[in-house]
Amino acid sequence: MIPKPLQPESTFPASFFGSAGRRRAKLVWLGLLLLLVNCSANVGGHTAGSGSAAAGSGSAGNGGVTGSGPTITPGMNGVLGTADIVNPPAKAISRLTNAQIIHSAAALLGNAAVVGAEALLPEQQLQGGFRNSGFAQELPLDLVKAFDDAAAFMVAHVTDWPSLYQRYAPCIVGTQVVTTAQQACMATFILNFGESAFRRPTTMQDVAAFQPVLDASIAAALTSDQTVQLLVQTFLQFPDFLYLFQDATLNDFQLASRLSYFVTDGPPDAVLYAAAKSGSLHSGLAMQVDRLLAMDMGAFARSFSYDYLELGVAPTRDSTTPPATVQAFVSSAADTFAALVNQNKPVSSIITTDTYVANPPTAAWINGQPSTATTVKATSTYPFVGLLTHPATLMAMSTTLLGSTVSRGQYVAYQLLCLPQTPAPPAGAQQTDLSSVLPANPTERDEAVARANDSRCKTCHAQFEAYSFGLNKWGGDGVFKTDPRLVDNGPIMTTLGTMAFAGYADFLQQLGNATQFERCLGDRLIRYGLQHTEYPPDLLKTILDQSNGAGGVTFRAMIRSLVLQTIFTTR
Amino acid sequence: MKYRHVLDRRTMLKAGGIAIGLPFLDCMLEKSAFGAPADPPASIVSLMNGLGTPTILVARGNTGPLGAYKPLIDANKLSLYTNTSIEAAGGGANGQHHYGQPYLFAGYPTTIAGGLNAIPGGPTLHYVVMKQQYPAGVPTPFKIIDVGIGFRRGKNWMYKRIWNDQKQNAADFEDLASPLDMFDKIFGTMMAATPMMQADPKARAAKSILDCLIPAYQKFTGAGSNLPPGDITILQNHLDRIRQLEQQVYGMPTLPGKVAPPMRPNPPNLKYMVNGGACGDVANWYVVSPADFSTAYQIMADLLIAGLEMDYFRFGNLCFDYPGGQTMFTGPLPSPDDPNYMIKANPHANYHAWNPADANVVKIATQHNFFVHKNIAQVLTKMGSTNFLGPNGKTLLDNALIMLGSEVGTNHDLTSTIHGFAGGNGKLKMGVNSNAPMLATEMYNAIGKTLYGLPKVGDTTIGYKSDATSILA
Repeated sequence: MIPKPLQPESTFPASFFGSAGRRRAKLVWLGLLLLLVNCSANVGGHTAGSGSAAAGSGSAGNGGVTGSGPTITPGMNGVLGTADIVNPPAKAISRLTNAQIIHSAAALLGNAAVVGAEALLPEQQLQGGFRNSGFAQELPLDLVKAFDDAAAFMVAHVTDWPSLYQRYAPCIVGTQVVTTAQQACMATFILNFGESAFRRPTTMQDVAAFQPVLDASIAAALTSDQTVQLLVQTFLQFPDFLYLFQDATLNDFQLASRLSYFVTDGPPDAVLYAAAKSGSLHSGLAMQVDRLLAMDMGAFARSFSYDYLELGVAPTRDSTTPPATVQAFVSSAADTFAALVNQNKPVSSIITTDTYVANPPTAAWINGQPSTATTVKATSTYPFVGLLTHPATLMAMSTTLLGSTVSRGQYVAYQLLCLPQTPAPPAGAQQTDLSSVLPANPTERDEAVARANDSRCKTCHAQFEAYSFGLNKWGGDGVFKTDPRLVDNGPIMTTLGTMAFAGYADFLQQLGNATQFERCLGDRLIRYGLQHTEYPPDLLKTILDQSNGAGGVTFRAMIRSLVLQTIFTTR
Repeated sequence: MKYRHVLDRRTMLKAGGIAIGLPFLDCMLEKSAFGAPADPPASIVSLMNGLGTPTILVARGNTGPLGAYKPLIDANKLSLYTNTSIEAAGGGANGQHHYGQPYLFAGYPTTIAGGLNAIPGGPTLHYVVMKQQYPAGVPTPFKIIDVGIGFRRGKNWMYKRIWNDQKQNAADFEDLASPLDMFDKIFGTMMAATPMMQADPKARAAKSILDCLIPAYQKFTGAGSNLPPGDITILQNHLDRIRQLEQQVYGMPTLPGKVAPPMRPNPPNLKYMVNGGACGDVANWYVVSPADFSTAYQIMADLLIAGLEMDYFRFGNLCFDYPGGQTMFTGPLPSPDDPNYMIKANPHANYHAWNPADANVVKIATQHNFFVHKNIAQVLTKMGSTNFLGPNGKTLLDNALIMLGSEVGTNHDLTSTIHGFAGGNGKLKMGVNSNAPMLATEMYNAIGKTLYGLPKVGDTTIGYKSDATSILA
């Protein structure tokens, strides 16, 4: 895929307003993004303490709602400051994500059985939270139907039933018609397969739960093969398989599941399960997490990054790039994130890496010519720095092809820096006329600057919009632009202080090294790992301090620290 | 099935066998040959339209876009209330779509989350009534069908319009926006059962999967569960969905007479699932002709009506363009005002530029609103067709509670939206066309209390300011 020709930043069809002309059209478009004065930060819920040496206390008790807003402490001397991170408390039983269902089924049935199954599971759109968080998971009818369809699909694609029988119930003779006499053998299968599927020991009560299948099989004179297939299809839809149950203090098996799905996006492996079964997991948690962290963490990284970078939004944004190409971009971004995690790079590398893991569409896009390179470096026509300039992320963060300063500023401010969100703009402000202060043929930045300088708009817009200026040369269509009007220098005034930078590379370097970026990422990781947003305000500081003490803030360090906190062993 | 008008023999004898000229007696009420007809089952269908209608067009009365409803109002099949406030949704008088949509037919103030997504304050009336009227589960294959045609889906309130008590989408399917997708999910691939299945022992054995799953989920949702209430609710929802599937596969509803299953439609070839960009993103506004838009919408309306007639569901919503839609209508758009008008405009952007003194802006809004209300009136007329009658001899339009509404009024204003009501099985006043100020939440409460015996609907802490009981018969 050859990158598109560079486009001028803003054009408006003259016919939009008939004879009204270009300037009026721009005024209307500009007016859509204006806010009234007295916009104040929207606060609520409990706050995580700032953790910064320069910060005021501002921290709330565990789970309580503060009487005042989050504390924002601007930085000094061009260094971004910090802000308390506000999370409305939310907690609910979590269901396995689609990917986790597939990974779990693969562990039960073999990899061949699950190829193509994930396509049967519709992905729900997500606002806030992660896909693994119960409070953010919806359950439309077609998803429940899809659970059955996917279960049937996987059962139909098992390639080695004899091995399965050998593993769970060697007494099974597949071609034998099931009679009452074979029920004991089926019970063995249910107990053993069930233990793996449910991630806990099973009892005869679990066997009794499957009696309707056995009864129906006998009545229909089904073979053992057919009966086992029905049993497996049932297992894959059972609540004990699909949901992660948690007592107030997690028992060993629940802890094993929480740890495993967090770090590997899949069920406990044999070693972890054995530790749980022996009752030694709580005391041996450090050893287990160290063992898992030494393995490939790609599954965790892909799952986490997909939601953290909002990559799922990318295919909905750009209607001109072929959907398959956009999906390839998304895969490349997730794989790049995974590589950084596996290489144990500091978390800032997300924003500053000089290498993307590529697939052919992404490699061609970056290189400007067909390519099958598996990694790519920056080129003169695509001089990327970090994942914010990856085409997938550019598309995800931009509501316009040109690269909206509003949506991208909000993305950096809210998603990457966890700043308090501004309230919705009231209508009426859209009519504010700023045309007198705009240059001829203004860029998006010119309009954003006009808003930031206007007393009616700046109180809200100044809180987030300037964060987009460093990306001014990067289009929402995933293209680098050389239009000389596009300025990506600082300084910018933000609520976290003044930030001076010369171009996007400098901006991204500073962003990646900012304390608030680290803190925000830490908050997201905690929410992902705990699958809820309720955690004490000092937890974030503890995790970052321990990570720094271990040699630096990396995913492995933060995950290890979180897992070994008491809160990880409680609901 | 129609019921004959009958008088039982005892009544005839009391009257001396003379029925002609006698005053109306209770005993002359319609009776079926099989006994008194029950009230029709509770059913709520809303016809939403995105973007609202300016008050200057409302003021034109029957010469304006709302004239499309005159035949229905004159026939006492519809009432319109054109000055209904949903300001309590939040965000002030000009709260806009993100506050207004979750409030519509719900009555709970909205909270705005990141990216202008909405957190509804409470459940929509459809959901509340469904749970209250059918505590054991609504006995239809589907619970709530929410469909619509629109070309923007960047915020959750654009494609999620009916909410449950968990502040989540209450509809069976998320973002059902394509006629073919709608057909396939309601009449096509979801319906897998055949009579042959019941005779096949292997197929019957497959049903045993459900016989295992249902008690498995009941174990966690029943009285003995020690899970927190929120977790129980989630698992109960899952159980309800499993029961829905069981009913679909193994409990096909009996089709009433004169109801033929619909054929798979052949809709216009549009990008139904596209996200039409942001307010200023002209390049991404989806270009579509009014004719194609209308055709697709009416196909979805026909499918919705078919589903209601077949009793596949009793609660539904059909949305004409999404709240905050970004549709670039391009092509002929005739109206009584201008039969030769050619539109090339995005009505949403037009509202952002709203200026009643600007003739071109007003023209676009006028033509667009003629288009909107003509299409919605057409759906109401179809619902009133006597080709399908309920057990009580009345039409869908009479028996269901039909609600009309939009998430905004003039240019994102929340103080003067249009609400309309039809049906309600005779319990709502019909034939009204009122511009008296009303509060939507009070209308919802009047309906909820009188039609369904609900103690309250929506957030009543704001205090009552108008008398909405006037909407009742």
